Amino acid sequence: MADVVLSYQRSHNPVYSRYCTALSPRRGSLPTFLPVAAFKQSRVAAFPSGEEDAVFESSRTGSGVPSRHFVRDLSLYDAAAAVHFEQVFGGRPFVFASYLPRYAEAGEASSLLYMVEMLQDRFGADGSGSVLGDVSRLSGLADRSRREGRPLLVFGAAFGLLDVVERRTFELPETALVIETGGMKTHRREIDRVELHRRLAEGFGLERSAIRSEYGMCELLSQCYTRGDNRFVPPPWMRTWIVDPAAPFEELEEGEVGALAVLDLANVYTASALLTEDRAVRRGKGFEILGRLSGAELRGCNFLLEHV
Amino acid sequence: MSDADDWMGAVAATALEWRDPDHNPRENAVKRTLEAENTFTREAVTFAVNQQMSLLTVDALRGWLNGRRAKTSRTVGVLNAGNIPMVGLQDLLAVVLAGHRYVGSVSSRSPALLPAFVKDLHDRLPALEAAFDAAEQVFARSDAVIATGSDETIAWVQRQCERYGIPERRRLIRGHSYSVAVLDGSETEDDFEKLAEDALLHEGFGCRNVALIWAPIDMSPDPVLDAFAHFRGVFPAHEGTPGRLAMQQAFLAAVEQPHAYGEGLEFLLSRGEPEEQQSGHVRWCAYDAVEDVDRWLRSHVDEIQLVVAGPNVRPRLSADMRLLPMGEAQRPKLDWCPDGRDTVAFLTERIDD
Repeated sequence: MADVVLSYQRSHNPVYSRYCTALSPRRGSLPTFLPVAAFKQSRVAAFPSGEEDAVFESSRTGSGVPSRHFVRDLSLYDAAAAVHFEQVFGGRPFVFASYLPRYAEAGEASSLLYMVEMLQDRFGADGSGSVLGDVSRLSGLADRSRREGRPLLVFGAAFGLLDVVERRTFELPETALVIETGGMKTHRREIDRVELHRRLAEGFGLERSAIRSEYGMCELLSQCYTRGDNRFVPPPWMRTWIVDPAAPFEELEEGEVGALAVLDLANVYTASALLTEDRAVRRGKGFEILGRLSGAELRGCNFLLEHV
Repeated sequence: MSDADDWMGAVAATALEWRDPDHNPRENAVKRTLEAENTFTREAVTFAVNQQMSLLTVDALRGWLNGRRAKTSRTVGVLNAGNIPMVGLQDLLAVVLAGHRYVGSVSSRSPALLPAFVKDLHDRLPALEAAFDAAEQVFARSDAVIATGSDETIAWVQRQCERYGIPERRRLIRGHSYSVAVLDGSETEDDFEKLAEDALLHEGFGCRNVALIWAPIDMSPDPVLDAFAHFRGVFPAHEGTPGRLAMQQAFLAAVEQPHAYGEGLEFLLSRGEPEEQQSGHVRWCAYDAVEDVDRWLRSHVDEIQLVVAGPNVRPRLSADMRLLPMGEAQRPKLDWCPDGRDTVAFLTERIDD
């Protein structure tokens, strides 16, 4: 299946086609991973212009130029996001609260906002919704969760949630789950995920295992979730590898730090084999994200790469 | 003669021996360095060792130290990055000549040169206290730390310092940086040859490597490309360089960004936004007015190690940008202050309380 999809993209996606041609003959046994930065500079699509259902834009980090993902079929995005979400968290209606500052400002262009609203519609009980602007509503939703016996699920931007618990603490029901995502790469503060989860667990009055993470990006239609630890597990139609960011032609050994490369079949109409800019390490069938790859790592100034 | 003079004399004498490529310890260390997993070529290692050794005269050392010496001797840990050969020698000498004990970690990419030099120096100076250890152990053994790295490295270093009780004033942490060239079209063939060294030596891996060239909008990059090709005739690329640049070149082709590269992908130059690329990939940026470049430089001062430019351009750029003539990026003077911070002052004033 993957070979068919990649072959289709080589034929119909001019950017990917030129990339593969320039790198031919193919090196190693892995797919040819297109750097995600291509989404900033070109229309990366295997279908004619104007046939897209939506165009998602990333937040403007780094150069300030956003990535643009032309989505031909939104129902495919909905299906990929919903099916995997249900696999991980179950399909019961949740008391579903979202908190996505900054993303909300991007409006329709934010793939995360779109996805969370879609999940909220599908898996949220009546009264679910954003608590942006009035986080005290969380206490009411927590009471309702206890009263109705429905688990509370809070889906929010990492640093947005951190700001919330720095202002006040909550006692969420012990069945509650908090899913944090995204924000670590845009915030000024340096904090690792373990510390982030510790503070969120403390601030929401939950066990550490109730704090989960979502890994997704504007350029990908599929997501990965942690399940009580720091290891992200991809959906069955997505594969991941850890590779040398400068020469992503072979997989690194388990435990070696490198760049995360993915093959996401939900990206069938754009580019499925992508090289991300995230530092990661393989953990069994999943991976752990360690942060963003920096210029120092790409240039080799970082002694830490070999000491982690 | 003071103790300090004795020590400087020993350093200079050791360096004099090390100027000889056939000096056994140097020869063995170079051999081991070239066997390690890194991006070093024999020519680049030779250049780095010769360049550093040529600086170490008693007069130069005396001028650099300028009588500065710590009142209290401490153990100073240095985490050496190993991205270019012999990197960290200046820190080592600063530590021991300031009167401290040195404990360093070496990268597996450059495991042999510094320890071999220290061993030779120790033979002349039995009182020298300098040792090497694993990075984590360096913190455990140190009262002060010198380290260079990315934001994440720095975060890790800071955590280790907290863990081992090394106070902030005893940390010299240098961030990641790269270097920039500014041309105005009046450069000569000789200038371009020097620029090629500034950009391509060490496969672009050093913070002193020119990663970005600003040029007038109507200037052709052809003379620079010719100089790059010529440089590669003298300093051949590391065998891994074409592989590393292959993906970069393919990406440029994919997004139809103008670029040029040397035969066998020994170097890569692309036109585009002023953004640092991967090592060995030099970015060519067009400007309308030097004042615009100066504004850009000032807004990126924290990430720029140095700026090379010709005599017509330097007076038009802000003096605090650490301006050098072309051809000096890879030939730092002994008193060079990485990131603009004086290592000896750190060792003799800031940690000395």
